[in-house]
Amino acid sequence: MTFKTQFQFNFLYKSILVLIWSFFSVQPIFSQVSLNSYAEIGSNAVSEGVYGDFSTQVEGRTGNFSTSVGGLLSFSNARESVLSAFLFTATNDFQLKKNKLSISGFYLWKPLSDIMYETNFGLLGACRTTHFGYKLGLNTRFYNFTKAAILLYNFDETTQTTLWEPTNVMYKISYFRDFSKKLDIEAVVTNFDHYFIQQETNPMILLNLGYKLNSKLKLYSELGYMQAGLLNFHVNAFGVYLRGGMIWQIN
Amino acid sequence: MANQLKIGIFLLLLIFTGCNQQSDLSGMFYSFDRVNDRFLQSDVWNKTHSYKNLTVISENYQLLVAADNHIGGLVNLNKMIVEARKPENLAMVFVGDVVSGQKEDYDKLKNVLPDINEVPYFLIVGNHDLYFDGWKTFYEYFGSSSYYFTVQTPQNKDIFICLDSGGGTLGAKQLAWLKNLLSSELSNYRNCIIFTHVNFFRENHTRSTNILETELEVLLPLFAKYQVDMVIMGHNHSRSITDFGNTTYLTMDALKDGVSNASFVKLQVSEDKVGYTFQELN
Repeated sequence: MTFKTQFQFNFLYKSILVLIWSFFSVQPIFSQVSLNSYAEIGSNAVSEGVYGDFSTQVEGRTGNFSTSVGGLLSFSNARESVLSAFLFTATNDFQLKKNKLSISGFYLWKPLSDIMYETNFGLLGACRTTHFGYKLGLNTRFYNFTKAAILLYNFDETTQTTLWEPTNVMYKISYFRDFSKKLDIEAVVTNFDHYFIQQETNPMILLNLGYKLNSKLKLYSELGYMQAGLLNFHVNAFGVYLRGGMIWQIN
Repeated sequence: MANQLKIGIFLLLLIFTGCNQQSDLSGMFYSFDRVNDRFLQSDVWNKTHSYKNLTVISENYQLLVAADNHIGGLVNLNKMIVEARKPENLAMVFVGDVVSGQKEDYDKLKNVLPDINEVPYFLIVGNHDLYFDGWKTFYEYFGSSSYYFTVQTPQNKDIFICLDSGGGTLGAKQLAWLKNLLSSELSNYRNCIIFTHVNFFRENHTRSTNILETELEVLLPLFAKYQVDMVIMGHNHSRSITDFGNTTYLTMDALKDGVSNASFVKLQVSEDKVGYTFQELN
């Protein structure tokens, strides 16, 4: 087995184990457990054709506190590894007058190739009114060479193997509309999604259609459009995706 | 509802604080000059005009590199041209935003640049060069914005790759060309230096737009894998130097007249390294 395939296998294997473990282990601890899974197809300027993604996130909630763990698998001509991202989030809800305010801290880890990975840490506040939702936060980002790459390229102690982007603003503005008790729509402008955070000057537009099958299960589809540049740029279309998923309230 | 209206007005004000009379807002949310179309036109140009090769008699040589001239003013550009005429300098490279897209500014630039056979120069487009349908004038006057040139020394050869990021992305076609160039050609060269307009990183908080994170996730491992020596950018009007692995990411000051930090870069290529010094103009 080559270094590259072994690298992929190890991470894939570990990530599946972590997700399965999370799924079963959080149930007794939390009063509510939910699962958010989606499949996505899309194309963008760096995907070398159509790509396919599959994500699963398990969330456990007890009182005002919730935590979630998730992973993303990507199938694309451009990627060297199938495991594309791992996300851990912890959230606490507060009551702010009539509205609920949620504060989340998260850790996002992304293997970019067999020689480099990216780590993000961030804080995100969220609140919602009847028709509008707002999220605002900050993240800090690190790019690192892997240990294997440091050996491969003979980097000595003076070589910088970490690159740090100190702060980036995260935002999400949503407009919600219920068409019936079962059908709702959400229109969004944001610079981040579950597994990526663009710079604040690169917003994207999302349209999400949700359908409540029953009290436990909601299906949704989402159309996303990403552009390069804004304001002082003549913008270029960067990518588009279509996502289909479900949110399952397990207990 | 009143609060939401206030937020909307605030966001609009925030947007327009980034605009001035030299901005062309027609492409703010949608534009016709797409990077893939520009790349195809550049590719046609490259096929009908061979890539330029410069020859030097020493293993060490120097190029002058500038970004964000924003002509109008010609004072700082003229200072650079005076320097470029000195025998120790091989060529000039302009890393985008040379003008603000207006044809009269392109005319002014063309008139002030020296004879290309006397002082070779290389240009790529920045976001401002594309305003007011500026790509047509750029292409007519200077040709391709995605190409490479080489420098032949007595014993080695160096490659300088010029990339069009004037639309905030390299685009799929240019990226495929770049990947192919790096994988097929790079082993033939001693050093590889990449020029592009839009800076990659947000080391400090600015309003300037960067290459998308999704694209960086591809470019950073790519440049590391092929041991690119240096990536030289502009756009942010404020210098920053980031070493990451064997690659130096250098964002330049603007050459624009009237700014306190105006400078250009002397890029020194020698047998064992690619170095740089900033030439302050104020």
